[in-house]
Amino acid sequence: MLEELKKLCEEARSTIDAAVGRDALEQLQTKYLGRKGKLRDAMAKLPGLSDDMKRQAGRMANEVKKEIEGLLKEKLKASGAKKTTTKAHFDFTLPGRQRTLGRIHPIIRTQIELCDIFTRLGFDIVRGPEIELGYYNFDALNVPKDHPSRDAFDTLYLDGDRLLRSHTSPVQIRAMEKRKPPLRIIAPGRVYRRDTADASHYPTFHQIEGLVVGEDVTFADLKAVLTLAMKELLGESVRTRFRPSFFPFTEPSAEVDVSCRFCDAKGCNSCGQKGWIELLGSGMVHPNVFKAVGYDSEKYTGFAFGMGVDRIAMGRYGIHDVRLFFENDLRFLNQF
Amino acid sequence: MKLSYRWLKEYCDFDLSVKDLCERFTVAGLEVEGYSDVGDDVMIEIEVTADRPDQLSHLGVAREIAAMVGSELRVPEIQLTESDKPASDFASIDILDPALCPRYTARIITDVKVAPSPKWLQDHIETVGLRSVNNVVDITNFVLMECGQPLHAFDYDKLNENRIIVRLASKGEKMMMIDQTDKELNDDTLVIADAKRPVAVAGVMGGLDSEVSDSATTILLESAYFEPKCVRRGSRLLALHTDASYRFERGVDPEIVEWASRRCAAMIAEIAGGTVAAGMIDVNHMEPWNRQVSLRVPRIKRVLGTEVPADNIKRMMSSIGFEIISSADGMIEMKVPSFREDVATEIDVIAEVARLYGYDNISDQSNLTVQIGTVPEWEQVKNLARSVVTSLGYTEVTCSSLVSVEQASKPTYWAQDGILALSNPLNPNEAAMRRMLLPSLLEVKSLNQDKGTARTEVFEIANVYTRPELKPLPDEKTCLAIIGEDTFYDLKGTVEILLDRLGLAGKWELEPAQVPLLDPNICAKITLEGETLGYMGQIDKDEIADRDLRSAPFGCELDFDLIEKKACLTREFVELPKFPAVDRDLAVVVDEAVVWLDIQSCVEKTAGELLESVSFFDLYRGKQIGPGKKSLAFSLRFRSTDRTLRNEEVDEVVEQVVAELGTRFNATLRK
Repeated sequence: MLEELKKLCEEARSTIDAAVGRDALEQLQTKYLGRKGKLRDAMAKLPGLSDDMKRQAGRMANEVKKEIEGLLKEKLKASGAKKTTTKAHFDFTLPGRQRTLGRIHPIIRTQIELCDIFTRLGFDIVRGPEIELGYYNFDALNVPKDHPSRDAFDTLYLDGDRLLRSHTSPVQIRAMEKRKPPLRIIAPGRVYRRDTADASHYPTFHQIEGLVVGEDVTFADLKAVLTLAMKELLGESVRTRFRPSFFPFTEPSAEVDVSCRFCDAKGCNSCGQKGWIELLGSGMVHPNVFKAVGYDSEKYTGFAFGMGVDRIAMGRYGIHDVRLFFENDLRFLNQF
Repeated sequence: MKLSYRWLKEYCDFDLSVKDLCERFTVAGLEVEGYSDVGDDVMIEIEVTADRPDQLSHLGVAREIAAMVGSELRVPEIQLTESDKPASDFASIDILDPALCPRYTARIITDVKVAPSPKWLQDHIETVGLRSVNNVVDITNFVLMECGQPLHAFDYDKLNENRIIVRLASKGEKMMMIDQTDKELNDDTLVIADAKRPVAVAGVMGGLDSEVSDSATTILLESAYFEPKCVRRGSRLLALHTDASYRFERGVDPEIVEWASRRCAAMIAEIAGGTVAAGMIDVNHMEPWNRQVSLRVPRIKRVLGTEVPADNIKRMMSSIGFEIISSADGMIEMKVPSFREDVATEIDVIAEVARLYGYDNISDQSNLTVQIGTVPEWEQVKNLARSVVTSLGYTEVTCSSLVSVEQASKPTYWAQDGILALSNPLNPNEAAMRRMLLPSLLEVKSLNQDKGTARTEVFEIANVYTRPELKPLPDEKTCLAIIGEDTFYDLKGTVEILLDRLGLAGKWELEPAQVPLLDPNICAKITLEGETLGYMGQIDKDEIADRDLRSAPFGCELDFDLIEKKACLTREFVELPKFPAVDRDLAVVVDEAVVWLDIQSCVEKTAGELLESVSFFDLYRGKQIGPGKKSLAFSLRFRSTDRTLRNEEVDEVVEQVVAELGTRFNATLRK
């Protein structure tokens, strides 16, 4: 019996060794270890043996079984042969199935980002009407009638005294009428100018207005806040430049330029060789404006500023034509 | 305004290259547009702000340079020889409207030889962009560019009765201008006239007939002060904008009228020859200039945030022409020069101090208190809506608020009244305010279709403008509009998710509707707690045809103000169920006219408390169930809050439901 088992094991070893392919190995598994396999046949003879013989044979049979199993397992692993033809080939280079990702419009995105910067600096967001009265758009802002400074604001008029606001500054007046100082507000929104649409102008556009009024608010605060905001928006390495200008509602007034991030204000193609890009208008609120809203200009001082969101968005994303924002070509919008 | 670099050097010494000069200009508030070589001179173009008309001349700019570099301003000396004959012998001046023309002066120069200008004069004129005409005219332009006072030379012999009358024109009076345009005047246009007819529009432009041409031998030289608003009206009405009108509109220096007249007369005598009559004819109703301002030195720190010592202030202000009257106890009194009409109060002085001190030198350290800014709820709701709709695959667009009158007049959901039309539109396509958003989105679809993009799923949150008769201001309503492709139910699904996310689940309903722009067969009205929220449906075929669209998208437009009002952004946790659910699927065959909502309500009412939810999942029409019928398949989920349900319990309820559906809707179970 023991001889038989030994011979069986040797035979299994060599046939397994010579076998090629998974199918062949599976067949051998059945042949030796299956229910009608050779090992079983051999074991069937066990009952006819003495007790002592039964024990030895049984032990050996188990060892043979383990060895054959082991050999088969190893060979199967080593062969790594795949089943032929019917199974599909997994091609991970096929494109993924995409769900659509909608986008927030780049101007709105810029506006939200700017508002976020200012709320972090303590500004409350407020809003006001787009259709305004001449009083709020001009008179309360110290822009007298029949004055050349009204030209700069080429206004679109509706009927009588009603017009489309040419800047977000009227919201300052409305906010000051409703609240007592101190205040810190920003007002984003649409504004309108009588401009022929071209690469840098569009009759509808977006601005954000800011206003800070208090008992100890100075030009130094204006410089600090706007510089901080611009660095936050455009990067720490950006520099600001404040140069004297004129707005009827602020005195002193300043235009705020930021350094071109490509050439650090040395001048290059991106900034039209100027080195500096004008982004904000600002200044200390004129006492006449405080008078119009009933604030005591002896006790309170304040600064105001305004920026064109569309312009800032163009600068950030490298867009050269403002009309793209209003055309809404999806190939453009989906880039952001 | 165009400046000549070499000309500036005639009035003050400075050792700055053009580039450095331009940088100094920028720091001082004179915006430089650019500069270019003209022969061996350089022309520098600056933009002067509306409050600084004193910078509209070379002397004015030279004064700024002198203050910058610490040198002296050299005002030219005038060598004028006058004859014995007084100017008043030659002509008379009548000002009929002294409010509009407070001062008019005239000098007479006889025996003048009108000829081409000497080269140096031509060069000066041409460098700053003017055309050389003849010596007399060029000299008047030279003096204008030198000191900012516009002058006009008349051919004396063309002035009827040797009279100058400053009056308003009569309606319909005509005049041929120097630029060869024929103008019809108005009764609020101020003109310079002789005894018979107008010879100039005051402060704007002279007439062709009385201009100084080659044949002129006697010159009447006008130097006057015209009221800014009046010149502005004249300029606008006649659409004539000249170097003269530009300066008068912004206000010229009242004290320079006389100097300019003498300067010009002296130059004419020198260059064109001739005899200058004695003195000027001067009708003067102006009060002599006398303005003072005081500055409280501590206010400098209050407003600017930086202290500037009183001595610095006095030095800086003197350098630009302010005479210090007194300085004591922190108070500085000064005289405002006549060419600085813009400095009227203390704040204007503070602004000048800031400018001259240098904005860069002012501190940029802030002491503002630390506080948190508020993002109001209406903004939070808007941003949440944006975030939801973009997550669902729609891209945000921004469209112009302005549309054509025709488009704005089309019927809208939001109002039944008139439109808001611009009184001065730039073009007919942007002449009125839009009263609906969906048409703008359809334009976006149209554009994208043209560019080769077939699927356009976009949204906009923006205002529509209605109720023009409302006082003081019309209504601005924020709306949300979405267009989508595929099916009505895709768009409906988006709206369902959006309203749910904004805390409005269960608060809104749909009703049938017939509204503009939407297909009458595929259209519904949405109400929120009884109020109209908006409409959704498939865009109408006519609209699709008009716009040449290749597919008919689905659109909805919602009243976002209402959403903002009712939205609830807070969320509260609901306990997860403790016991398992039992699910059953049913399909019932009903007549076409039966709507899902009725089936759903019936199921919910009949099934009672044990029913946790009923969800529709399939609609089938076909041969199996026959014509005029449809099959609605839905799943029922049963769950109890206090025990595990047994199948028998559920079966019983399902039987009741099926029975009730049969009774009410003649529904049969589909196997």
